[in-house]
Amino acid sequence: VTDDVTITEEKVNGSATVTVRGEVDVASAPELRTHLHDLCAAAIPVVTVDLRAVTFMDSSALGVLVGALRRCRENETTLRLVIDSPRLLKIFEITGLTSVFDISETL
Amino acid sequence: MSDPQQTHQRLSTDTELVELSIPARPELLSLPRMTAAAVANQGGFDVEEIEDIRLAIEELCLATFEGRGLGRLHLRLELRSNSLEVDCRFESERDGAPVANPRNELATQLTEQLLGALADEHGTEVDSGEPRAWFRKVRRDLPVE
Repeated sequence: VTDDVTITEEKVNGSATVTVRGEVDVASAPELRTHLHDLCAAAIPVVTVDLRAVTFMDSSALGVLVGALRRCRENETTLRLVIDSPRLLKIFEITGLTSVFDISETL
Repeated sequence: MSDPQQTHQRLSTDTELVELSIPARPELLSLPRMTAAAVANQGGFDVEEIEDIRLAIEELCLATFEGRGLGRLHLRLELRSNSLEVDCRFESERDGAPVANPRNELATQLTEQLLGALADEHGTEVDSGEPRAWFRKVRRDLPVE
């Protein structure tokens, strides 16, 4: 009944990219948290979260990203988000998070 | 715990009611989203408004049940000629008064910001000991009632 989330990780030249597809809601946000929790503590200089294939995101998912950002900053890791959907960007704008995250349209 | 239940009835010539009752579990919140999208589509809301409604009903459910343990969500969707009003109530399986505010500050703030932007009106309260939240979304191509 839902567009299940799939999350993959790729590490290249000391940086990591997490690609998220599908609906990130209160049921699937913990899986995203697990991925980011480990990466943000792994002394990786840059962690990029590719959200271009995300079709739905709620406040649970936003909360996970905010938590990951805090953790990355503690570990001097840069957290980047990739968003090209106006719909998704609208959610970040409503919540004032466009000024908090480093967001770009391409990897 | 019983399965999801859905009912549908026409209240008057310009109001239709859809009721949905589900176990309050995260993995089932796609059901209110799908139901709200179908009802909003029937009501003539455009694609962007339907996406607003899908997210707003998710946030209603989160505001109502997250952190409160086992129970059921009772959703009531009233489709009028120019608006959709959604009411969500959490019925706890625990004895005693509900936890006052079990969500963390960030979650509460994000939900409030989203509902404030996505709906024309919204509110949360504890009604007869049961947490309740609601929103109203007006079709933007029509005047407010």
